[in-house]
Amino acid sequence: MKKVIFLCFLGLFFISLLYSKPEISFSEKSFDFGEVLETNGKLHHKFIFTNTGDEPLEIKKVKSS
Amino acid sequence: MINSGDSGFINVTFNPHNRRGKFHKSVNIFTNTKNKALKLDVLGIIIPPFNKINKVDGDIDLEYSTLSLGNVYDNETKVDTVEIVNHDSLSLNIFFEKIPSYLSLEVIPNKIPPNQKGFIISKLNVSQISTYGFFYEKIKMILLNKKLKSEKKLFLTATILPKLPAIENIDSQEVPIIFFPEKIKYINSNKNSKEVSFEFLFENRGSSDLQIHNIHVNQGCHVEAFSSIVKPGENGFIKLFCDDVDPGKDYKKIIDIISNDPIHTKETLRINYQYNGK
Repeated sequence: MKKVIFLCFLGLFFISLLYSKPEISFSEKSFDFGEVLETNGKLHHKFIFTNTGDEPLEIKKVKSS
Repeated sequence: MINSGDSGFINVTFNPHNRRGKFHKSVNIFTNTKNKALKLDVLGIIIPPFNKINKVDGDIDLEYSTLSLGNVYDNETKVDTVEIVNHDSLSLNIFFEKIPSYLSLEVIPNKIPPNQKGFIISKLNVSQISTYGFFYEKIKMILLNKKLKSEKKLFLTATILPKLPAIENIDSQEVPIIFFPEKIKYINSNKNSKEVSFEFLFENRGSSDLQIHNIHVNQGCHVEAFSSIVKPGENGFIKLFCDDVDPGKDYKKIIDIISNDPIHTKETLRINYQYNGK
């Protein structure tokens, strides 16, 4: 009986490993600078994100249009 | 690497210099998550400083004479607005001549009262335009009041791109991927020639047919031949011929490639030609 319970736990452990993934969650996905004077210089904005998954998150590439 | 529960940020910078009007830019993030690609958007309106308004005639100021619409998709209608200020003591009428069917221009108010401002609203219906890449239109504008009839030019520029699947859905679809092993050609030559040929090779690393919609090259060069459709895993080429360059001088050329690759829809190649026979 103990062996069966152990095997069940082992199985659940491997299933959880299979489904664990990093997840990226942004507080906002769009930002509107509004009306800005051309002479105001460069505009900056930080998009904050959190890894809400179980595994480490890797940003592989960032490409702007 | 960002551990579970930790936070990070993507810093976005936009330089408004010479980018007047509305802008809408996308930032694509590629990660190791289930949905490998996701998109962020930044938008806004860049306003020119008032003292940079162009004097078009006498007491009439035009905010800018070129409407730069930026990237526009082929199923889109893009709207832009130009401010016009009538400093004169007489009302001003504005008319346009030979407006193509894909463009509409409207002046609000119809007649601009003395010392008032008005707007020219342009609407470009890209679905009626059959080319891709850099687009340029020149419109004749007539300014008219009781003592003045003046003809001016209004310019419109845009880069027309094909509307492709949303980047978030790319994983579930078969898409073409354009890959250039060499994006910049550095040519060192001692030939004092006015005619030079170049060839760029590319590969379709995706899983569906890659289609080259348009190639735009700087003045002085033109496209001699290119592979318009390339099957997955196969190679293509772009042959360019420059026949109007100053012999014995250095020059740089930029080539824009518009394709149906949803991530690299517009690719830019460069030629840096250096003459060593001086």
